[in-house]
Amino acid sequence: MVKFIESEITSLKKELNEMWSMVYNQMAKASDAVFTMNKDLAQQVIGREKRVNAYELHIDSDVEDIIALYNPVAIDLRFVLAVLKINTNLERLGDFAEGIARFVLRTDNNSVNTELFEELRLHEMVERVLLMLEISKKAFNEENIDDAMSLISKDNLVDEINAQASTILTQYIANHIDETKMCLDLVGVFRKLERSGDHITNIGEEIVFYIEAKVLKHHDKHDETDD
Amino acid sequence: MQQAARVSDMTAFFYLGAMVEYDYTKKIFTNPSKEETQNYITGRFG
Repeated sequence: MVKFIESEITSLKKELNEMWSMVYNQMAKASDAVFTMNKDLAQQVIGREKRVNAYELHIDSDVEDIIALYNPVAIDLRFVLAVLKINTNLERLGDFAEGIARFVLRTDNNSVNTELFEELRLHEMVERVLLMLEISKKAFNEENIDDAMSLISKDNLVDEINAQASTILTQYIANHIDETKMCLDLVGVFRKLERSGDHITNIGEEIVFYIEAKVLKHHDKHDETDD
Repeated sequence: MQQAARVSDMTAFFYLGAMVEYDYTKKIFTNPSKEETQNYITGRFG
């Protein structure tokens, strides 16, 4: 006899949503800390990272229980498999937020140039990553394929800004040798944001798999212009 | 139902005397085409 799994799925969805919100806040706060060089805010992000990790472990354990006790099939099976992978991706995003916060702690406030941030389009990149994270959560909860697939093209802007950042920073270092360390650390921030875009795209692919049983992994990415 | 999944290559789902779906067992249990089949194998009815 098949045990009815609905309440377990509802509970798992709720837990994943909580983790999603927490990771979003972490990423937003870490970015704010960079723009304002607020070390207290950065410390808060670093302190909260343990809670993100705790969520990951709990969700992993819940998924294991569901598979063992309920033998999910069809859409339920795809759902728990997707949750397992989304969980891992969210945890990585949490790590990136922590890494970005650590940049703030390592960097001397006086060495930060806000005009440089504008030239690097850091605000734009952060906004895009946060938007993608918001869309991914909405796509999951509303089972919206179009939103999930839109993440692939939205990641193009993140990649573009990251690629330009390296060139701009190389030139900047040539003219401001004393700020080399800050610039190298800043490359790390851009790299983390770029990887965040990739992980959110992966989340979109898992959502498509869960809803339509289509595997988008390792297919050619869309090369459309962003809207 | 796990026995059916284990021993068969093909699976048919009948409801009230009518065949709802017939396909490879793997397809039926991972991505059935009919919503009725999905609702039955996931325990939402029956």
